[in-house]
Amino acid sequence: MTSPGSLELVCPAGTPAAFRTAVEAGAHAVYCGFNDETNARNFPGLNFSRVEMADSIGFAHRHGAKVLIAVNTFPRAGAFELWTRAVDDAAGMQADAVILADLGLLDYAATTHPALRLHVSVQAAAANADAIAFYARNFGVRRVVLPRVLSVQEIAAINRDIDIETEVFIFGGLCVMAEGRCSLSSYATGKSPNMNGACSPASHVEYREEGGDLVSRIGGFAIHRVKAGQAAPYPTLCKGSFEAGEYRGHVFEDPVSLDAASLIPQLAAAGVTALKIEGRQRSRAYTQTVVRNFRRALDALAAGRPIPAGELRALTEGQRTTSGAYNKTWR
Amino acid sequence: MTQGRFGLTVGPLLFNWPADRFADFYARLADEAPVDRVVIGESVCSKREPFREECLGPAIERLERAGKKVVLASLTLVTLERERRAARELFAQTQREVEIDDLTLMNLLPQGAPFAVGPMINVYNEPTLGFLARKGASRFCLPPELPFASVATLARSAAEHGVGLEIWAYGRMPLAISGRCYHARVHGLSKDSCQFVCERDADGLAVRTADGTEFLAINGVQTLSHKYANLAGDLDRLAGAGVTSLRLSPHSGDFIAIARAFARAAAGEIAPREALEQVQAAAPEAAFTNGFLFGANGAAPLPAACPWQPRAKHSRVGCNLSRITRASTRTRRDAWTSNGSWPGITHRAAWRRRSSPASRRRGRIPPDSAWTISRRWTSSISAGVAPRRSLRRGCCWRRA
Repeated sequence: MTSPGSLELVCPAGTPAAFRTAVEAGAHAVYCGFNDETNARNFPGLNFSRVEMADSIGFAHRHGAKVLIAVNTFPRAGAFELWTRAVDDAAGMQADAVILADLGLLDYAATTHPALRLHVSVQAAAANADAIAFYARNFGVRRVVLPRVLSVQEIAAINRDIDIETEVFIFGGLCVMAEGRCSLSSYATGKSPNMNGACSPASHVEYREEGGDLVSRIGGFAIHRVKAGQAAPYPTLCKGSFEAGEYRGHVFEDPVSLDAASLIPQLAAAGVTALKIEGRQRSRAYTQTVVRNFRRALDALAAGRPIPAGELRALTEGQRTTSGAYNKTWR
Repeated sequence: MTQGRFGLTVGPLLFNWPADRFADFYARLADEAPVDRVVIGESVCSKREPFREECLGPAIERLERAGKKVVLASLTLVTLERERRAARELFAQTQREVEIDDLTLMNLLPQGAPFAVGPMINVYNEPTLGFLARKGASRFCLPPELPFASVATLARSAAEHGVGLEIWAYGRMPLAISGRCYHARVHGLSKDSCQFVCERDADGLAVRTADGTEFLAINGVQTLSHKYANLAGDLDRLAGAGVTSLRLSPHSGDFIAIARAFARAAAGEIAPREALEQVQAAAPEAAFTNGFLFGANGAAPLPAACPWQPRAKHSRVGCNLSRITRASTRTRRDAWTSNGSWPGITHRAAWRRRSSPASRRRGRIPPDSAWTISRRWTSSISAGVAPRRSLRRGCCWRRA
């Protein structure tokens, strides 16, 4: 679709300050959401009021960056207006695109705002060319964010079959399950990514010392048990340590994060348009470092220079990372 | 053959049963189960499909001979080229209704082909339901995580569009689907060389927390709830909300007895409590929940286990302590779960603590709380809105 030289870097912003940081650090586009349940990172103290969003869009446009507004939870029955208002406001504020997952909302946006650019959220889990073609045909979407269940080869095959852009996650948190199709969190806590924009919410987390161990629980279910004094990881449900048959350990996924920086050339060759960094909930300092380093890598790639590997590796030092489903053996 | 207020649908078998067991299950289902519709076919993992090919045809034939409506299931997560091809062929091979569980199939649907929408399609609101109904969907089985208020709103919308509305009424609930096979992973294998180890667990492999609490069940690339949905005690309010059909998801054990209990309850031949007892007797190992619909979370214990539920017909829930104690003693004596365990014990203990005279003095709950909760609860339901979340946890299931 695009030549390998023109990869777009899409960066997260959870606050106006992080937004400015991302733009100044070299983001081609910033994605963010309103401060309510319309977006899939609905955490306390995060996201943008209407005024903050309008200001931030102005700031981005003055600096030549785009703004993509995520309205990517599934509207609650009987409360659809909260979501349509978010889409209307995004259009009114001259956002460059909205990122949507719900069929009803996509239909609304396509009908009401034909000039508004629509992206299919990762929450829609459009995992093959037919699913993507369905969104393109019915709603005129221009880009799809691919779910994190695909290998690089499969992504290349998809790009050969479709005529809209694809965006893939390159760095940050990693969903093990197909996004938008997981209700582990509402099973344990009553709060779900699809309905409330929250996965494994902190409001339901509890750390307690039990018999010399530190146990972290969510919704009452023990997720990690470590020796007292050791750092217990945040109890994200799918990264917990469980027992299944003879197996003791991380049944679903180790507490790792995604780092596919080494695959940037392959992803570019696979026809991907944009690389997305996860982490609207992360600090400004984190955003700055990650965005700056990825921008340098993409500039090097565009100029035909080798990607400075050391810089990206430093970002995850001391942490465990994976390239996830991009490598087929992950499955 | 609609069972009184509801149609009964048997969902696709989610587990990888060997061919003979598969054949036996559907033969008995055809001959003995009082159900209207059977959704059949592989919805979880395409690697299992070759083993099913031989017995799928005869099973469909037998079901149709027995007067059941057969609907073909489809894959929940379509990523591979051969899976796309299979999806395309599904429509070419049959005039039967197909249940779509991935929007991939919406792109392959021949004009005018009949289709139903499965529980893994994200139908959370009326405009989404309307969009798919306009595309030709004749029936919707809603995602299991929806709360009752959403179900009621969607049922009204379904009625306006003249389509059926089904909910997940029995069986472990699908919570997630992944590109990764967890059965293979816990056996030290990868998905591509899985040796079909998922065949060893007829109802999924239990996932326990570090302290031994049963939490989830894995089934290849799918993750299910440990608890079984069981809405046999809730049919009055579901009928009142406009739900037209109940989905029973296949499990090992006496599934025919489960179907019969639901059929009797749906026809109003047995009271909700009796239906729950019969279902528990047919699946003695299963722990039940109706939490997604009526509780604080999807794993919440069945409030039907409330010990203070008097047996006689009544119009309100008892609210004084002596009555609670009497009822709980009786329930324990009856040992209404056949394995002797009593699922209500935690609930009862919690209730006792919260309704102790001391806590009442502190004003945490007013003395008539049980009655207030139940009255507010029912009036909210008849008004078609969700009771406030704070009310749900303490609320008591009551006989109509």
